[in-house]
Amino acid sequence: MKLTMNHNAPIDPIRLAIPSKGHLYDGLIEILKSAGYKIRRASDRQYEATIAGHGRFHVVFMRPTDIVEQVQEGRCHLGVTGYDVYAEHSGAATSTSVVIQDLGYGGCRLVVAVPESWIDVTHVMDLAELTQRFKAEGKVFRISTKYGHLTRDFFRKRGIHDYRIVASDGALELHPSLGIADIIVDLTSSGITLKDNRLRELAGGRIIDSAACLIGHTESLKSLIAEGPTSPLALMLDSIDSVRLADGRILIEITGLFQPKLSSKSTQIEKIFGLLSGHGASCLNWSNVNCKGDADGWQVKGLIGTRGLNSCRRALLDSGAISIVGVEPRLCLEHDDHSTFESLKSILT
Amino acid sequence: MNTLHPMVERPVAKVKGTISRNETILQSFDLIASRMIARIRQAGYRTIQTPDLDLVELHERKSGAAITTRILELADAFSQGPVCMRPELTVGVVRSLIESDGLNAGPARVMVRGSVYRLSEEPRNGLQQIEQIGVELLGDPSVEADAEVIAMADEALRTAGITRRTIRLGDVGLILEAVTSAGLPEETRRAVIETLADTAAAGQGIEHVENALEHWADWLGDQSRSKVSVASSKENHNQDLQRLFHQLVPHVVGRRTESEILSRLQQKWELSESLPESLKKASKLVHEIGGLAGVPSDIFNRLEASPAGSLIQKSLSRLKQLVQILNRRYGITEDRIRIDLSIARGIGFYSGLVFGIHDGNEAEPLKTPELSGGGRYDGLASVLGLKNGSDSGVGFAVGLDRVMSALHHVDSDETETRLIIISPEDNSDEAEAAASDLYTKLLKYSVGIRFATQADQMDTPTPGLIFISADGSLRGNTQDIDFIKSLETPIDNN
Repeated sequence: MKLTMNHNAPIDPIRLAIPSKGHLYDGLIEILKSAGYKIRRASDRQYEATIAGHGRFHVVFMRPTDIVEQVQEGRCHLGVTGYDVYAEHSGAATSTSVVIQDLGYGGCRLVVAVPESWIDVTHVMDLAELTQRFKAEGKVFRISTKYGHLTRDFFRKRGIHDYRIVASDGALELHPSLGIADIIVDLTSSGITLKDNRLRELAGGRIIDSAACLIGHTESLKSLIAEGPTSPLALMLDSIDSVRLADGRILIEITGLFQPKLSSKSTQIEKIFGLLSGHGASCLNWSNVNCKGDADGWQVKGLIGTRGLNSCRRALLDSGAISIVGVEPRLCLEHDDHSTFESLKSILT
Repeated sequence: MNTLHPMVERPVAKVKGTISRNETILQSFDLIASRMIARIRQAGYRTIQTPDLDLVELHERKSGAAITTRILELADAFSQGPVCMRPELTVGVVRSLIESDGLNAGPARVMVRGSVYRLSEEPRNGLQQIEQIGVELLGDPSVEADAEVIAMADEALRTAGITRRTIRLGDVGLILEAVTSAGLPEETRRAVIETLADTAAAGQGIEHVENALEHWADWLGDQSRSKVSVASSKENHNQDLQRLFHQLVPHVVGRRTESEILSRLQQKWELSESLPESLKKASKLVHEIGGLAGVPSDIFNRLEASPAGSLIQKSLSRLKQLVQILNRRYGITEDRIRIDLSIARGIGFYSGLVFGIHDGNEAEPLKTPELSGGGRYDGLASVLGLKNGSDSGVGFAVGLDRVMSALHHVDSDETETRLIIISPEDNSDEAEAAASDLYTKLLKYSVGIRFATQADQMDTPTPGLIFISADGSLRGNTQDIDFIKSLETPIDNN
């Protein structure tokens, strides 16, 4: 049963459902904490919590599958779950919207995996023929998974129909060797567990990419959006955006000395800026500083990804940099950055 | 303030997609169904009943993808394997006839009425409960049998009150012939045919067949890059291959044996040489014939003039014969028939003829709903275990809801049954005996009858409520009393 919203009254409390434990929980707590939303939970066994300084939020702890259902039905207005869980359990339901599809952690992919020994099976279309062979021999081709809907959709789109789903929740990797199933459809991130169990990911068999995601009850979201850019939803989304933008980036402080004999100061700074921008840096600015007792020093500050910095570090040193210091920022917000709140507003209103 | 509704017990909803009907609709529904059933029975088809629940395996054996992907599977409650709500009627009918040896003594004509249950195309949207009448002619492979079944479907719809009907004829045999003539090996051909079809999903057309062929092209592309292919070559002797296999795969995991894997690997290598060309040919042919739709004579002329026609002669010749028989025997003129070779529905299930009957005139039949559809499914009985007798079959199903939607109103030809409610005037044994006597007498007539309950007597006057006293006298509405007296009047045999 879906609950209807009263559009005239503000939603209070705003109920946020989050996983009660595991990596989805840990990652979210980290993000919310960085964003300034510290969850106050009396104990691990308590299934309700508040957020310090954000009194309208009421946090409830649930299983990821329950979160999808409760958000669908409007009992919870926001929820954090795995995108795989959402995709499997919500389907075409329009009562739920994905607010942030990838929160930046919990990344994995849902894949079709076959026994390593099946060297004749290299592509997912091999299964079209193989399932036919099984059928002709009077055998039923079996696929173990807990993602029945996504699996059926995937195979149906490829015209593969002759198989049976063996619904199972855990230790799927064992199923082929025990003869419970012939192949599995399961989540993997590094592929190590598959390999350790003598399974191999099939080419063309990636069903979806998944990560922790933020979902919302569509009608509730509309109501919260209507409260404007200073609403609790807008502030929370802006804060999460800031944390996500900071994630993986380093705040750098590069110090060097001008070399008047080589070129003008502006040319030297332009060269440093060029090097950094070419490797993805942003928010660049510079100032004159005293460097090693020399008043003719410069300092450049900006944001750059770790990989970008590593790539241009030597060139920076060759261009007059004396020291490079990097620290991880907690938050980062630029004027032209993507705003989840504004995107959501344009989609839903 | 919490804007959610207060926490109260929520109503229990019906299962998404299941049907409940009120009395008025149900009466019309039953009337239409009974008219069609009576007409079909007159033509010699006998009515049987088959279970609503089947073993999933029954439908997996042969049903096309349009069905198997939409089975509502239930738990294995009886240790016989998973069970499901029946997704269609034909397979259950054939199974039932095999069980009762009904296919051993020549053709069998049967009919069944009931609901079928399928997951919606988008499974999370729930179920589709579809009330159908299914008609099957088993054990007769002739084109005359095809014509009989089409004419029967047409006549059933006419009886139901559908005045304008257009018959759309297709033949999945044409596609099967086209794929076969492209020179694909048997097992791959079967796989290609099965996958030709997103296809098999009901109502989908030839463009999906072409899409499916493209997926196969992807497969080959990957195969040519396969590390294993590079590591060896098709010239390897079996021994070399086995040695290589043992190096690559120290442990064979799963239900497939080493020899199965190696044998398929070799076949795949051989296939990688010929398949691209074969698929190209098949795709071209499918594209060519799939674009043909129109009145029979026009389509036949165009096919005869095209190179594709020579590759699908068998199916084409049968289709021509069918149109002739429909015209000569059943008076179904060409202007009511459309040949549409883009129908790829049920390609995994049907073996040749596929047809649908649409509500509407011949100008634009495809824009109106298909009220009845069917086709030929030779081989089904063998797949289900028939040992002796012909395994050919052809049949159709009529969707009762669609027929009802197409009819603007249903003329009732039945009068309402009068209801008499008997209530003894007092609690005496005599009054009870008189009431019982009246009840027994009225039972002999076509009249609804029951005893009054306390609620009947407390309410405002109930129509048909008759009080009977200890001496047998009646009190109540004059019309009701007159009606009862007229029933009790002895029939004058003279």
